Order: sequence, then C-alpha cells, then structure tokens
Amino acid sequence: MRKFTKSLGALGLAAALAVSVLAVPSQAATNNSITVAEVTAGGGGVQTIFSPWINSGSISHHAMFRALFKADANLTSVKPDLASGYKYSKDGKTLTVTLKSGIKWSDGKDLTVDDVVWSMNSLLRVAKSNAIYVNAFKQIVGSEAVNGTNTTTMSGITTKGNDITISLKAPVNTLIPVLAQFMILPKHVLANEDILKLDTNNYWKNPVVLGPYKVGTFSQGNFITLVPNDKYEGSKPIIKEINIIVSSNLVADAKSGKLDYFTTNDPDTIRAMSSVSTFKSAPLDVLFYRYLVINPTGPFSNVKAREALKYAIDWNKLVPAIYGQQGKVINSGVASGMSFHDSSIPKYKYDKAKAAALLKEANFDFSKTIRLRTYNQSQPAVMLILTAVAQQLTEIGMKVEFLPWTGDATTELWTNRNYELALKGLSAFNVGEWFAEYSNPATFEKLLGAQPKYAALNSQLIQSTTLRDTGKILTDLQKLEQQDLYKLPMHFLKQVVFISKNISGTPTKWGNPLYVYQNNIASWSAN
Amino acid sequence: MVSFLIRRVAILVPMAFTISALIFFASRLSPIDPINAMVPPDMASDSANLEQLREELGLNDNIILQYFHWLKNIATGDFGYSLQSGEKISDILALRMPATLELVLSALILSTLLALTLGLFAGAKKGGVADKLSRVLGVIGIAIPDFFIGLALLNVFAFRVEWLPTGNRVAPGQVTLWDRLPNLILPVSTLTIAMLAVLIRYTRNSVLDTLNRDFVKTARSKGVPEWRVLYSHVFRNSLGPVMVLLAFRLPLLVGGSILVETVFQWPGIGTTIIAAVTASDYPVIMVVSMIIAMVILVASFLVDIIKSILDPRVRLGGGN
Amino acid sequence: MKEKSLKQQSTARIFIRNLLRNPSAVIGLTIISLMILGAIFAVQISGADPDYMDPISGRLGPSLDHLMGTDQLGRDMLSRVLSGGKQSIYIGVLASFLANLIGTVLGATAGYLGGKIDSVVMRVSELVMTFPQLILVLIFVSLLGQGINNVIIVFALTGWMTTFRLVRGEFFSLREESFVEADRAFGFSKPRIIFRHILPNTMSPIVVAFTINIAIFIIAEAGLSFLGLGVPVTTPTWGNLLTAAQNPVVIDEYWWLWVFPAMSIAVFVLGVNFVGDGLRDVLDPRHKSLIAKSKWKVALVGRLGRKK
Repeated sequence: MRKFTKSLGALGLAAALAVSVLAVPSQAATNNSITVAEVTAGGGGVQTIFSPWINSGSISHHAMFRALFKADANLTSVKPDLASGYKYSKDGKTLTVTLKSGIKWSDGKDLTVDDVVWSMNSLLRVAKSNAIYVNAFKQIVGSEAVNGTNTTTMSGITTKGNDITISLKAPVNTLIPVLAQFMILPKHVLANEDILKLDTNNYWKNPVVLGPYKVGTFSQGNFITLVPNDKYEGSKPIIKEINIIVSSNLVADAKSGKLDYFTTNDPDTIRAMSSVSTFKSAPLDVLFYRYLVINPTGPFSNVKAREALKYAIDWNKLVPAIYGQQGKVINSGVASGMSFHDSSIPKYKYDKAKAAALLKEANFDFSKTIRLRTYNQSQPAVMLILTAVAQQLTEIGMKVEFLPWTGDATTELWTNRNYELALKGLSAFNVGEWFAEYSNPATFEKLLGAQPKYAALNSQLIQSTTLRDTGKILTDLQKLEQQDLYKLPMHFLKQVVFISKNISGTPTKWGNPLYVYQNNIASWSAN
Repeated sequence: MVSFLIRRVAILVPMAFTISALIFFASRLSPIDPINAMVPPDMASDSANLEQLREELGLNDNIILQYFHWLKNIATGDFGYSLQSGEKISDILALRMPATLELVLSALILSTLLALTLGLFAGAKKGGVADKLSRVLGVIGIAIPDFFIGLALLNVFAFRVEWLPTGNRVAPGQVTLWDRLPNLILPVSTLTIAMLAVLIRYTRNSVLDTLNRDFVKTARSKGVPEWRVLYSHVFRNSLGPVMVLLAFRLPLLVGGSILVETVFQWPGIGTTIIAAVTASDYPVIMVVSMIIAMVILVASFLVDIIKSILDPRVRLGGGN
Repeated sequence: MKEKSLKQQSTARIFIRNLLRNPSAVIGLTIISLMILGAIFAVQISGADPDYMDPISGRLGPSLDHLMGTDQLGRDMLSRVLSGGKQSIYIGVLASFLANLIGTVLGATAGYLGGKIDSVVMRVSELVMTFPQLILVLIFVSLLGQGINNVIIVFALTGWMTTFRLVRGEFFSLREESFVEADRAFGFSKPRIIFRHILPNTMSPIVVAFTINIAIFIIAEAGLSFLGLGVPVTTPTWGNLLTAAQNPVVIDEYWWLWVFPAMSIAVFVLGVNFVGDGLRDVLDPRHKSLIAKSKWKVALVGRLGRKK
C-alpha cells in the first residue's frame, strides 16, 4: 500500500509538471488567426453576439454587420455603405435613401429595401434597444402606431425600386449619423421570430450577416470564431480567423500572446499594459460621462447645497490620482475644450471654506445620513473614487453611507429613489444625449418631475440645422443645467484601444470603441 | 429497514415543498421589478412593449398561481429564462455545471486520496513525518481562508513564474479535458488544500480509534505484517466515517465553491450565483438554490442510509 | 451564601490558573490581545489616520515611511490593517455570541423536551447546516441589504447549528441524570429546570464553540466582503481591505494590498483556535464530547468489522 501510494503521488507530481510546461503559451498573431477580447451578452463567458441594436462597436459588430452608411472615426460625417447615397428635401422633412443593388446576405439571399424597412420598423417593437435609435425613429411619421403589439409598419417609410423614402414630423439633424450606426438585419430570417425578445434570440449564435466576416465556430460559453463571409462583395479579408474570447486577465493574456486586441477604461489595466512592449495603445477621447445624480428631494433640495459639492471634493486631485490620463474633470455637459462650451461656468476648485459657506447658506441638515450609491460595483476605480468622495464629505461634517446597489439599479435610481447621491455613467453618441436625459419620462422625470424647459430646448436641438442655432441652444441648455444642478458632472473617461504590434492595416485614427465606424477590419493583417 | 426508508421519505417530501415555497416567496419579497432588471428604462423602446413582455412572462398573474406554475415548470424540467441574458436557465446550467463538476470532483477525489494516505500514516505513527505534515495542513486549512490560498497560488504560479494560466477555462484550440488540465491545476489545488484539513483530521482520528480495537490487537498478536494490519484492518474500517463526511460534501458538486471560482474566474455555478445575486437575476437564484436544496436533501437521505447500515441503532428508533 | 461565592471564586481562580498554565491558550491569548491593542491604538502605532488620503502617494510599496505600503488612495496600509481588526473582531465576537445564544436556547429546549419539537428543530438545523453557507448568506444579504448589523444578523441566523447540536447532545444525556429527576419531582417549571439547573452543566462546550465560531465568522466576513457583499467599503475591515485583490493587476503588482490583511486574518484566527484548544483542555479535561463522538464511531467501525 505504501509503495503504491508513493508511486501514485510521484506520478501525479510528474504529470502536473509536464502539463505546466505544456501550458507555456506561444501563439502570436498570424494572418491565419488573431484573438480579440470582448464583453458579450450573457456575462461571464461568451454566450452570443450582442444585438447591435443595444450596443455596438465591438470587433464582432465591425466585422459582421453593416448599416446604410459608414461613419468616419469622429462619427459625424458618413460615406455610403449599403446605400449609394441620400437626398434631403428642402424643408428637411423628407429623406430619400438609395440602396445599392447586388449585395447579398451570408446565406446567399439578396439584400432588399424590405430588409431596411423591416429593420427600422422592428426597432420600435423590441423591448430593449439603444436610445439613440428610438429617439431618432420616433420622429418618423406614423412611429407612434408601432409597438410590441400593434401595427408593425410606420406610414412614414415608403419604398419605390431601390429608393426608401422617410417622412419626418420635423427635421432631425442626427438621423444620418444614427442611420450609420443602425445595423440592418435580415427580414427573411427574423420576420417570424418574437421581435419583442430579439436581443435573446438564437439568431445571435449564428447570425446571417452582410459584413466581411461571419460566425464560423460558436462554442457556447467559451469562444466564437469568425471566418470570412464568401458572399461579401468587397475585397476578401486578409485575416482568416478572428477568435472572440472573454479574458479574465487582459494583461496576462496580452503578455503571453493569447490576445491581440482589446479596449478598456480600467486604470489598473492601462497602467499595467504600459510595460507590455508587444502592444501599442491609442487613448481615445470619447463622450463617456461619469456624474453624480443628485436627489433634489432630500438634504440637497437647495441648489446651494448641490453647488457645494463642486468645492467640497478635491476633484482635480482625485480624478487624476485614480484614473491617471484617462480621467478628465468636467464642469459641464459641454466640457471645456469642446465647441460651444460656456466658459462662464466656474471651474471646480477644492475649497472647504466655500463649500461650508454654501452649505450654511442652504441651511444644510448635517444630521441626515447622505446615502451615496453606485451600480458599477465591479469596477474597482469607481469604488475607490466614491470612497474618496465619501471621505471628503465626511470631513466637512456630513454623515455619509456609501453602498453599491446589489441588483436592479434602474428601479433603485428612478422608482425607489432611496439615495441622495448616485454615480451614473453615460456613453453618449452626441452632446445632445447628455441633455436629453433631463426630459426622459422613463428616467430623470421620475426623479425630478416634468421638465418642459429641457424638453423644449432638446427638441429644438434635434431640429436645428445650423451651427449657430445649435451653439445658441447648447449655451441655453448649459445655463439651465447650472441653474438646477441636478447632475454634477465629474469626469470624462477615455477608452484605450490596445492592439498587438504584429497587426497592421489598422486605421490611422481610431474611433469611439462603443460605436461603429470605418476601421478597415477587412484589410487588417498580421505578421 | 423498509419502514425506516418510508419514514425518511415521508419527511423528505414535505421538506422539499417547504423549501420550494420559501425560495419562491422569499425571492418575491424583494422590491425589484423583474421587468426593470431585464430592460433598463433607458433602454426601453416603448412602455407598451414592456407591458406586453410582462404579460408574456406571466408576471400579471396571481402570486399563488405563479408559484404552482413555477413548481410545475421546474418539475417538468422547464427552468425558465435568465433575466440578465435571456438565456434558458437549463442552457446556463448545462454550460456551467460541467465546469463546476470538473473542479469540485477533481478536488474531492484528490483531497480524499491525499487525506486517506496522510491520515493513515499519521494515525499509524504518531509524531512521524506524516503526522507532522497533516498537523501543518490542518492548521493551514483552519486559519487561512481558501481564497487567500488561491490568491497566493495565483501570484506565485501564474504571475511570478508564469507556469500556469490564471483562469479562462476554455479558449480556441483548447477543447478537450486534456487541453484544459493546466487551467485546472491552480483552482483544484486551492480547493484540495482547503478541503484537506478537516478530512485528514477525521481520518487520523478514525484510524487512531480503529487501532485501539481488539481485532487489530488480535491481528498484531497473530503476527500479521504491520502493513497488512494497516491496510486490510485499519484502513478499510476507518473508511465508514469518512464516507459520511464525503456524503455531506456532495452538495458542493452542484453549488461549487463560490470564493475559489471567483478568485480564478472559473465559469461554474459558483460564479453564476454571484452574477445572479449582484444582478438580482432571481429566476436563476431560485432554480439554483432549489437544485442545491434538493441535492442536499438527497445527500442527507444517503447519509442516513449509510448510518443505518453501519449502525442498526439509528434505524431502530430515533437513536440520536 | 458566603460559602457559595467563595466556592465560585475558587473555581474561577482554578480555571484561570489552569488556562495560564496551558501553553496553547497562552500563545493564543497573547496573539489576540496584541491584535486588539493594535486595533485600538492603530493611529498611535502607525502614526497615520487610516482614512487619511494622499492620492499623489498612492500604491507605494512597503518602505520605512509606510511599513505596509499605501493603497490606491494613498492611505497608510499599516494603519488600515491594524484598525481593520476593530470591526472584524467586533463582527466575529458579536455574531458568535448571537449564534451561540440561538443555538443554546434551541438546543436546550429541543434536547430537554425531545419529541416533535426536537425533530422539527433538528430538521431545520440539518437543512441550514448542509445548505452551502455562503449561498444562504447571499440570499439573506440580497433581501436585507448590506451593513455591519445585517452581516452580524445573517451570520447568527446561519451559524447556530454547531452549538445547537452540542447543547442538544448534552441535554439528552443530562436530562436522565438523577438531579434532574429530583427537580422534576420537586415540581420545578420546565424553563427553570432547563436554564437554571441543566444549562450551567453544559457551559464548557458552549464556551469552546463560542471561541471557534469567532474564527469562523471572521473568515466568513472576509469572504463576503471580498465578494463585495459584506460591510460597506468605507468601513475598513480585513475583508474589505482584501477586495482590492479582485483585480488581477493588484494580485500581480500590488501584493501588499492583500497579503497583509490576509496574514492578519490568518494570525488572528490561529490565535483564536489556540485559545479554543486551550479552553477545551482546561474546561473539559476528559474530552467528554470527543469521547461521546468516538463512542459513536466505534460503534460504526465495530459493525463494519463484524460484517466482513
């Protein structure tokens, strides 16, 4: 017995050592395959491709899906993609888009105007979708008739040959950029599915697509491999395989060559990546807001008390300490340095005495516990910055209780409202989205009550056709925002793209990785 | 024996029902609107769409009705859908269960083998090397939280010397169990070390007890070689209590070890539970707790049967 | 009356004397007292306020200025590790006390009365005991919310079974003793018999269980906080300090952020276990409970032996 167990133990040890040698990985990128890390629907493991109608911008979206237009890296000007061109009527209320012919889906069927019309109508019938599409499409004539149960078509969209004509209730200056983000899905595959729950449809495991790549292998819960789509009409993509994985340790995987591309905003990861010489990085200014939602019904009912938060916390020291170069302190929805920033807005300055004076003026009730909340519990940096905020508020005499919400943050934010200060993030498509929040009946209006002033300015903003008008409206909105201070802007958060130096053919200018733009994925190559 | 089994089953059934009701109604007490957990308001296209979703999910029904509906579905294997990902819960379980089984089963087997060997030698020769080693392991197992063992192993083997991968159970080109072995080593070692302490102590005591039995003394006095005494008398007779302890560990096979799975980002049931709790994905929480509870009931039933076979007094009447 | 107090005094004195003669109890008590003192005088020892932030000197490794380095907000880790003990120990002690209270009351009642009540409580305890504790705790936390007191309540509700079983076992054997028979003959009320007469005779295992539970709950707090579901992060506890290690970059590069808190837990828990061992020796020189257990085991083994 003793002998037996001994040899068994030795065998086990030997096996373990052998395996650990085998495990030393060396699989640098080649033209045959590259590996990208993505956050995908399902959480925890790659489950399916995210519906691009909810979030887009990942490599899998770039590689597989296409819209009528293709945006440039700034997301503002567009080039034709599925459409050959577009034309606005003089009053700006009718848009005619001409579809290219000869484009095929990956299953060999032709792309038709019906696919486009069906996609636009269906967006209003799903339960879950990105607000930028909804806000734009709600301006189309007949949109109110379409929802989960009722009519399935908008009267404002008609077709003739390859032309699609869209009639608007009022001009929408964001429609073309939004259409450049809106991915067309195949009617012939999805028409009979439950559109309400489209985001969880089996379609996403092996979607019929228009882009240069399609799903090759789908290993449930593990990884997805994309392979060239032979029905794609453009030049054939160079890289033969794109592996999409979920990485539990980006830095280690990048170092060991298991990973070739990812984007992140986690400061620790970014800091650690600076020592990985095989990667290059591109920090991107994106409209990613971090701000505090202030509940105006509690101790912060007086605007002076809300203003005190600008001075009670050392924003200019905390944000760089935690986010380094990635964080940029902002004092307005239109941050300084952006066009139309209202420079009369005072900059944040750490001044405890001023904060105390403002709180005194507001007759602030120091006996009430300030409930500081967040739902970004999984992000260490968020927990740190709010811990620091709690500490500095405690230092000026407040009683602060900082807790993350476990679970459904939207119910907590807008229905239960058991907080004084809550951290929120917003990845905005344009500045207008920051202000549109104030008059959203499903969110802020539940907290603040009806906001007709914001609503009026927001609809003017979306209809404005000249830069001068836009500038004026944005200035008015900033003034209004400073008057109310329901949201305290904290900082922008840059995204950083990390890509292996082996890969070439990538765009000279990267765009916001949370949206889709011309990133030439088909001409990437690896050596 | 038969009447004993019937008595145990008679307890089992009402307990299963009580648990299911507790799980169901406790999760309904929470103030969270499942629709909001599923579709955040800032992503809701239209309130009419949400109403329809509510209707489709049966959330407008009477709560008692919903309970029986849920029971019926569970009984027929229809576990419903996750709020977070919209996936079938049965799919999620099918995906995550093998990962947990792989981890826990390896650790259970490894720790049992090690504990039996070490415990046998430790008991056979008090104060010897095996005895000292098992004492050290016992102390480690008691004082050091299992996730700290995991963190330390990660730091040394995955980051310092870079011998072993950190987590990522499956990657492209890594499909078979053999491919995944390197990924298994660190989490399995962690769990094994954590489980070892109690097991060793148990085996050692059990061996010590057996050594004092008359039949051992008789065997020795008859001149049976010591290794034979140890193997065919002591070892086999010490197995009983260890089996009972192992039966109590069975629920781990389903529940996994939450902390160890979290440290290694192991995509098993443990991390699924954590994700579900932090996202208030209560259909998942309900199903997983229900399954774990059922496994526990069955396991304790098994323990009772083992006990009753080993000790007839248990069978004869409450003999607690 | 006087006689009785004298007798009590001398028992207490004997107990303390024995305890101080027991090496493992002395080691354990020394560790525990040092760590409690460290927690109380954290600021004086480290020379820094645990909450004082200096964001510019964050993430510094151990040095003479900061013996355990600084965290991401530039707070002194030594000060935080020392004062982190305060809440961790408080949670451990209070939760263990409450759990023992529940376990003792239920165990005494069930053990003395037996019958239906006993079997119901027994089933419940079996269920709670075998259900993976962390999952149970998670369910409670998601219902009750976070906070020190909630954590204590949750631990008490999920950790009373060991004591319950011990006390119940003792009562089973004690209720047949002649002094209890005599009590019953006198017509004393049940609560009086249970809590005034039998309970004092079962104190030893309760005290030992109380000590061991402290260690168990301190580890449980660390696990819960590590998952981000324990005590609010603004309160430094050993578990909360460990949350930093959720980030792989921290595990790799900022080892001082998690090694020191984890070591503190290990050392303190070790100390508590030493005291537990010592108490067991002193209070129960005959290892009554162990003997009872081994009797059962012997019975099992005997049966197996006969079978073959």
